[in-house]
Amino acid sequence: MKKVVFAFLLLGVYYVAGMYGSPALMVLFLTQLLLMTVMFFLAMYLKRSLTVTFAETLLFAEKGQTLVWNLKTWNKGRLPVSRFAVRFRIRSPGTGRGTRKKIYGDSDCGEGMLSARYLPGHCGKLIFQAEKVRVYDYLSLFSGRKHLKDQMEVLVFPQRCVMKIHMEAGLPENEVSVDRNSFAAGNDYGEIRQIREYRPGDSVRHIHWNQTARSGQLWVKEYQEESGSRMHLFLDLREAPECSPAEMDAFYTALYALLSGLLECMAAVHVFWNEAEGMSEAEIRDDAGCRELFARLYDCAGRGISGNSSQPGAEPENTMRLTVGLSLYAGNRLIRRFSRENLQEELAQEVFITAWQD
Amino acid sequence: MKTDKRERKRRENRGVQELAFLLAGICSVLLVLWDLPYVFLSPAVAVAAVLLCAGLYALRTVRPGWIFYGEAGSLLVCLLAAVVRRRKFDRQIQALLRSLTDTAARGEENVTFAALLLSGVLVVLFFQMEMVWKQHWFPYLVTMAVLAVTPLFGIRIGMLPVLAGLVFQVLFWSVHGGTRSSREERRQKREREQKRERRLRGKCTAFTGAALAVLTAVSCLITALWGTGLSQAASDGEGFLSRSVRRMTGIAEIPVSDGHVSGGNNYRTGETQLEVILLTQPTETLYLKGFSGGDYTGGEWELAEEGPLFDEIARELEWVEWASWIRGIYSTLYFSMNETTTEQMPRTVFLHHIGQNYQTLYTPYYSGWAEYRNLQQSGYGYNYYEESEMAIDWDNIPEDYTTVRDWYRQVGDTYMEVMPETYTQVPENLLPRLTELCARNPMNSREEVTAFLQTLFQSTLSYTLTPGRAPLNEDIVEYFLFESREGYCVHFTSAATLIYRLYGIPARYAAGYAVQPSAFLEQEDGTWRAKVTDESAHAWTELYLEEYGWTPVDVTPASDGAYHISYPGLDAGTLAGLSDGIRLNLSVSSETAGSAGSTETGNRTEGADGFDTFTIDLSGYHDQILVLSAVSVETLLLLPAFLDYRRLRRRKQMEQMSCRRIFGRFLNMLHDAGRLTGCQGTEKDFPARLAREIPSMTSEEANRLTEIVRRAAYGKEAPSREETEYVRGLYLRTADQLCEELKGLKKLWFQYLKAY
Repeated sequence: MKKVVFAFLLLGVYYVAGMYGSPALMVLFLTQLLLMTVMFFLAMYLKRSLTVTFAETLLFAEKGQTLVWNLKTWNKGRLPVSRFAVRFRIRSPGTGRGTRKKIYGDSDCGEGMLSARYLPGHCGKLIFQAEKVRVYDYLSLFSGRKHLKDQMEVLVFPQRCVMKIHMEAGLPENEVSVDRNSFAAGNDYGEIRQIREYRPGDSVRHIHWNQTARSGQLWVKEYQEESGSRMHLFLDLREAPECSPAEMDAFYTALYALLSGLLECMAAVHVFWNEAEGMSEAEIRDDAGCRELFARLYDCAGRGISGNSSQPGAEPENTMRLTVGLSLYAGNRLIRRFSRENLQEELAQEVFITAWQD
Repeated sequence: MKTDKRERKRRENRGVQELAFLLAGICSVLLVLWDLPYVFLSPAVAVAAVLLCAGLYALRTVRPGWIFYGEAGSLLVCLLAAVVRRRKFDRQIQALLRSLTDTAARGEENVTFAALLLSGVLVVLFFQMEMVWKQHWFPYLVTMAVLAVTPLFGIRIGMLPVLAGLVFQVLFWSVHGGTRSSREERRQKREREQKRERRLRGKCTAFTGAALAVLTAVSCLITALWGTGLSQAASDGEGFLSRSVRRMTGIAEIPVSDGHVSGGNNYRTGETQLEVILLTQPTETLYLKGFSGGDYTGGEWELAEEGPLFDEIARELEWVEWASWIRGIYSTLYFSMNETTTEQMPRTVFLHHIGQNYQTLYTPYYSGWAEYRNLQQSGYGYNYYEESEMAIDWDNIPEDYTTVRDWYRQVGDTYMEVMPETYTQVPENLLPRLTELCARNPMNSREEVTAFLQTLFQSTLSYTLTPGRAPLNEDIVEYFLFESREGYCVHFTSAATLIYRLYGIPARYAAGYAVQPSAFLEQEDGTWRAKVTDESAHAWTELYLEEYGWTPVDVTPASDGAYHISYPGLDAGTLAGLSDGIRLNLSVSSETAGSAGSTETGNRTEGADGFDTFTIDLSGYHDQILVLSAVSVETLLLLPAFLDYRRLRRRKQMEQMSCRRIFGRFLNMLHDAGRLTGCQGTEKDFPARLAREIPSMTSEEANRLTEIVRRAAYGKEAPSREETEYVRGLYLRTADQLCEELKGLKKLWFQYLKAY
């Protein structure tokens, strides 16, 4: 548009210069016309010189918190790029075309970095797909366009929220049984119960180096087990394929709050769910584990989950169940049904888990 | 600390640059104001504008938050001054407007006060847009509009306002990044490193500035060499559009003859507008009149309304009861008398309008209505005589016709008595220069005036259909006679008619078609037909001759510039004799010339405009072209020295280079000389190949060179100074040897452009 207006303006000046025989105006016209030509070729040159890629291929973000991400520029020409615009699309896997965004930047000769911000609206995996870069001349009259195929993934985790859970009487003894290997990697460790000789399979992290050095023989530390330390949580993802990103966002938020709440009460949560390939599971002991779980769930959501295969299988009796529709069950008993509209407020309320049997 | 200081200094420099660009824009507008005709202003206006601009800039630098108050205060001062000195301000604004619009504006008015206040507003406006809002589009459009409309008001700007305008328009555009940033973009930009951005912007502006300088020089050269051609192209473009529109809308077929004296070019479509059929072969140009001009009102001739004249004739003759007859008697007077008193048979002409638009009817001279030749075909006809066939003998008439003859004679004589008052009117206030020109060249008779006209036209004017456009605030006839000096029939005829009238000789402006005898082709039925296009559309002057009535006098030269002004009673010999005796006094006083007009009409270069004057105007570029040529020659002469200096400087720079960089350059040099192309220097056999390719280098030297460079690249310790010096020495020796071996252009390229 700008160049059309500019061209019409120049045409007007040329007309006046020609019809009224004004050499000064003719110089004005010619100079700007030639400048226009120079700027056109400059835009082409700058386009060839500039390469734009995402600086990272995978980023982690938290919902509601601004994500700072970078574009890497490489200007191999001798002239700086005063302005370029990168058009990219942000979409969730398995959803439609997503939203289109544009970011403007400039680039001196050589390498450069352009930072941008993005505020994720909901949890899940986001794909930043670069589509096109427009490199402008110094007057922004012309631009050279280049298609891009670069891609960046952003995993957006739910905001930190801890569900207040009260474990009350009625829980069967075996629900809190010690059924974990206290030497398994990633465990939380309590007090040292005893020191014993190293056995093959023991984690190197638990080697008691001082004792080993003194005795010349490998010794390992054995920790005190915590009580009531494990719970099973089945994720009912049958409705997931029909859910929108916003609905899944509510599910992820509730799940995160639930896991955080459970981890306040016990050492680990065994989470399992059905996928098309079969049952998947994860042992969650901390926040890092949570994030790992979410990454797997996002992948799972991206691939699409078969509704039929999401039927809970032979689950243990002490299993809690969280559905995509935000219903929380203890065994077959509905403990709580959260609503998507007031999820945050409801999550802040206390949840009592009292009995497993109907 | 040192970096901060340098950065601050750079920022200040950039700020001063922006201030300079802004001042260039303001000066560009003020320089145009300076060139306005009929007004003048003191240089203090420019000084005040610069001071105000610098003051605002200083305020913005020292107290950025106060800039709004500074600008508001400046505007308030301007407003208050305008209110307090309202009368003076009004008068000067009126004078400014008059100088732009009034063709009759004369004398010079001091408009310093108004210009001062207007420039104050302009400075504040530009400052706010450019420096505060960073919006360039509005000031760009303002400067472009101001520069572009100047010719429309007859202001002839020089190169200075244009150059200042270019600096302002282009460089500020580049400074602002060439676009209006969106809020998001601005937010994103805020997040970026400010220093880097400023440095980058500076580089872009420097590049744009350099490009602008070169392109301006190129444009000056192009304008000097092909300016006329470029102007002609503009006319051709307009002509193409005009013709296309007229053809598409069907206007091209409609014959139009009016009193408009065009201030632009004459574009003819070549479309047939009339079909003229004669029963006998013509021997003279057939003038078909569609319009007679009475009063001149500046670029326009009013239709000659003869009703009041005939009323006066009726009163003079006391024919009040027969007043309605007078028009009929007068219109056929000369034809009827000639028909009655000579044995010559009248000719017959039929006219058919191709577009079937009969709003304007075309009449031949010395004619009377004829019967329609064919009722089934539209058109009309006349019986007429050619000029050479007119020979009225008032005394030799049939007895039964004496009464009618007496009526004709009474009407004719009375018309001659009452007509001069109407047809000698000239609006002298619109034509001060023409009036003065006639006053300075007194003539006594119609023949002398005709000779004067021919001499004046021949010596100062030229014929063209594309004279360009006339300014809006100048009378087209004065512009034609005293400034452009180029035009076509309407301009020549208008000027001649007004000159005749200024000498007291009744004259009228006539428009219609002039059909040459050669345009008629004999048909099978014995008639002579001509297809008349708008190329035959013409304008001519009418003089009133006693035995002929209104007679066409064609004052327009032929396309080859030849003049053949003639009318009955004026032979070519007499005219030539009279012309030889005429000494033209072409000077007009500066008061009537105004500041826009030339003071010497004979000097075609002064204030001349139009197409052929383009080249004349270009003499003003003589100095620039000379300077440009001198700079080019000097550059060419100094180029070898510069290139040699560059080469030596490169070699000097190598003293600071690392061993690896020298080796990299060494490899490039070998490749450019066509040796070891494809070798990266890491090959095992590189030393051996190098020694083979460069005879002056031994195998040991090649091995040592490779070993030093390898150690520099992969070793733990950097090469010593001696080793680096050794590599450099080898490079220089090899460069000299390769240079000696190369021949011709390749050698020059190797030695000077690549600077090895």
